Amino acid sequence: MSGSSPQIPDDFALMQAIARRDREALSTLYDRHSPMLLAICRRVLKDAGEAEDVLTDVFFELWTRADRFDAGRGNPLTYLVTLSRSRAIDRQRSRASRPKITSDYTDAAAQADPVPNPLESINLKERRAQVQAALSELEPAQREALECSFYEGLSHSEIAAKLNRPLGTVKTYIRQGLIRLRDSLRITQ
Amino acid sequence: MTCDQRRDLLLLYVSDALEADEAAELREHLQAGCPACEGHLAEAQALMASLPLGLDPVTPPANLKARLMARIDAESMRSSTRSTAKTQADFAADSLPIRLFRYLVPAAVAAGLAIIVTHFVMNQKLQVAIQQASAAQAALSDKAMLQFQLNQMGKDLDAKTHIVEMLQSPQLKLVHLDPTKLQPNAVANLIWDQKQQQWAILATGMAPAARGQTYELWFVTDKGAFEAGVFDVDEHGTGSLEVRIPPNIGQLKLAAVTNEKAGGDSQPHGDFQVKGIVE
Repeated sequence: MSGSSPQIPDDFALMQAIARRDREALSTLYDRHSPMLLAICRRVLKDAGEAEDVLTDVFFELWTRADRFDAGRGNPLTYLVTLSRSRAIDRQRSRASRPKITSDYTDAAAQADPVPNPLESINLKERRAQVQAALSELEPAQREALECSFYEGLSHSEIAAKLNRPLGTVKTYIRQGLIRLRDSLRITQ
Repeated sequence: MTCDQRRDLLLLYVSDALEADEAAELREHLQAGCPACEGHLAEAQALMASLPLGLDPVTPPANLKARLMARIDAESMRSSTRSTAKTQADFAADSLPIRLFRYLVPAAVAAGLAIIVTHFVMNQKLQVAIQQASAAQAALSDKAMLQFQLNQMGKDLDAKTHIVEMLQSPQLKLVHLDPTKLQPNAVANLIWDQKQQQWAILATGMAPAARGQTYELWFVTDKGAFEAGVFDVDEHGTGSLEVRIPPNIGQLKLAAVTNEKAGGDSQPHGDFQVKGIVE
């Protein structure tokens, strides 16, 4: 990336640069979005080390398969969130069949630092506040069912069993929850 | 069903919460090219992608980015090494006398160290090469087979030439890697060219990796473990790997080989096969 430009490149420009094997572009995109993507991976996997592995896998995949991103079908953040969630759920599902990870290799002193991310754009901060407000307006049961679906990749039947609710009720929770979220956030899209 | 009705279903579709028959119907409709539903699909995907904004962000540890960038550098170097190897082979074919003069004289200076390499690798490789030559002679009429054998021998020669080049480094370190109980017969050594920041691992007597697995070499530093590359062993348990040490991975502490899934992994999950302190 050019250091002479005062403008911060947007995500689309960074994705194009990554497709041209621009290492600095990947670094910038990582700095911008890794805190949110790591939060997703940790929420799914509930294991800091495995979440970090998946995060690096996601960005490595982005580097080696940048051609998979189609700018005409969505924005880069949506793509990254979808990829992170999918890879984390895959890892979670295969966890039982893999040998136990040894932690001897990693620096145990390295811990997540909960400082605000200075590279997160103002727009993203505003969007975060809107989403948090919209989520807080959902019924607790709707939110719980949505989280089971999104972060755990559970089917309707599995959610019904986990929450001990009838299948039809779970379907209604998820459907109504998503519609309420969509309606709450639509005015800002 | 109207596209307005499908709009709600698309919310469930992107969250993998539809029944199979409903999902199939939607997929078929989308593949038919409905612009309204494509727009609704993008809207639903954006909505799902915004859900994690409800989570508190987690700043990754600083060494994680170093791990990622080292992995990317290693991948780039592997790509570049593959193309360089081809160029070197072409060059060797054009100017063999010059190359012989250039490499044989300095090689004599490094003869002592070269003996080590000869014991561990070249003997085995030479026997294989002789067997291959005999086989090639017997099948002289088969030009394709002969060409294949020659290509293989050319690759072996390139690898050995490069190791001899490494042995001429003024900043050379030889590290013996201790076998673990999983590899009781393994003999493995690491040549570390500290000037060019390269490692070459030479191993023999190793058991073949299990089906679907390979051996992976790791740079273990004060910042963590970084993948160096994968290698397999032949029927004699002999294998080798040359890698460039990426910058910014921290202070090297250990060289280790583990068994990993075929193609290698980004972090070690398998068991130690051989390892040695490289400080």
